[in-house]
Amino acid sequence: MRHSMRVLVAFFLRDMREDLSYRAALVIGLFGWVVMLSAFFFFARFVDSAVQVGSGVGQGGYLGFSVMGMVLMSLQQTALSAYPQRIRAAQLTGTLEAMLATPTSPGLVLIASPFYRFTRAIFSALVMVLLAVWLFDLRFAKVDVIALAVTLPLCLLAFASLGLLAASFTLVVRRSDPISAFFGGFSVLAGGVFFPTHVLPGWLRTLGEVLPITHGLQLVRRAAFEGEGLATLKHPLSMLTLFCVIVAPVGLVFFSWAVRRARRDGSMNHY
Amino acid sequence: MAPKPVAPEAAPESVAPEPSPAVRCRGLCKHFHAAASFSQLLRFQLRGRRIDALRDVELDVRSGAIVGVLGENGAGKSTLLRLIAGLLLPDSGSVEVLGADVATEGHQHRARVGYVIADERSFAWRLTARDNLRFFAALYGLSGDEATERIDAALEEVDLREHARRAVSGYSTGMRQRLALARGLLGAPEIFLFDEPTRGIDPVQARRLRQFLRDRLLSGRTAIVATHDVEEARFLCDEVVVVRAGQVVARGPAEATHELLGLKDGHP
Repeated sequence: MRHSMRVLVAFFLRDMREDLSYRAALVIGLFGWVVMLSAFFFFARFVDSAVQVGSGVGQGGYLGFSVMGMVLMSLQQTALSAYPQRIRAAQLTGTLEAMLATPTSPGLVLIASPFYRFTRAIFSALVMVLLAVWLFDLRFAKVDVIALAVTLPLCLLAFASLGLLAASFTLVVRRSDPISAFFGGFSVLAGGVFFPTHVLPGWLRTLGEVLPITHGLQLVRRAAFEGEGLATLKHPLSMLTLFCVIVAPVGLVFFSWAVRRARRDGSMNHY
Repeated sequence: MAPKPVAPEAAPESVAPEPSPAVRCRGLCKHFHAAASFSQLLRFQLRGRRIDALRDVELDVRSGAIVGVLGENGAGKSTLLRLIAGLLLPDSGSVEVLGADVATEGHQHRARVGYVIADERSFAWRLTARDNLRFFAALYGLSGDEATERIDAALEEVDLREHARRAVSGYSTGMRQRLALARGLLGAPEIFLFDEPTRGIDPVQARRLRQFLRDRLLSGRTAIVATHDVEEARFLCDEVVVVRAGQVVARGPAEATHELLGLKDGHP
């Protein structure tokens, strides 16, 4: 366990130092968020003036609705794309083989690789919310802190489980962009990222129930803007928990199998 | 002229296997499959043609010996090294390193094996040499003062201590190769595995690196050096094995490399 923690910290420090060495990219990235938030701010003005009460966007208005959508969407997409991107980058540079030649297990090396990216995505999400509050007057009038504290880690676990599946897929077929693109697209369509799901036809809404982001967004929005507690959030909470209970072990088993298969057929360094 | 390999049985007495070799390969086989072509996929064949990378390889490396593995591109040299390093699992046969079966021993045996990847890109170039080594030290299970001491010792051994705080991007190719050696030293290995240690560097730097390897790093250590450079094998190694199409076809002292490869006066 101590070794695993040290490895996670080592990956985090190395990738953070490397990331911080690209200072211009960091500043431009921050500026990009402000521009994107500005666009959603003005779009929210238009939407909020047009929609009626009961539209489903909630007490935070369309700005709050879309900011939460973007936050969870970016976390999901990071989980889906960070594993394959890090594995692929390490394959291309030869770092992967150097890391696998150490006594650390291949599984731990692969799982730890995107740790910094994932942490940075969480930090970025926080910054995005703070910018929305500071620059565009986003208000959290009623917040249930306990519900948020339970919900957010559950969302992260669900996305990390999806990431494990994506990493396994990358090891087996050496491409996972299609998975990331499919989940991203389907989440925007049926997950309620940018519009409430009640506008969707019934069959598509049912399909959207399979996505963790659908329940994650309901939980976060209702806890952050409506002040709903765990007692009234039973349905999305149980659905998200069920997703984690099923997908996390499946992801781990599939990942272990994929690592062993890659060692057996020599494809770990192929890209 | 067709090469005239010396059969392994005909090896001189001086290279006969010893009772407890540092590395022992027995009946080692490894095959891969090429990617399936589109027409194969249409016929529901998910794998392409079978490629036998290694076939029934028997190899003993005694403790303290430096053995060169010579062969053309695709002969199976790198596959052999990866199997010994535990990066690949064999289809059949076994690899024992210092008495431990690589396939069943888990990952811990890799601390005793210094698999030196000479690829100069295998570092985070924007970080310093010390930061890079600190990262790899954590993967070797080292931390705190122990890690610092091991990093210092490794940098000292490869003559890079003065440059430890420089970003790797500012290093010459030769310096990066030496940094790769320092990385291989972090685990305090008992056996070194080199996969084409001078690949991609100019002749002058290559010569310096070989000199450094022979005089400083490999003195008194066990090592296997995969190379397709005959002179490199003669310069670095005590003995060589020749691999062709996945099989060991000849073995003998390094001085006899040309004969083992079927070369006359250094030319085919």
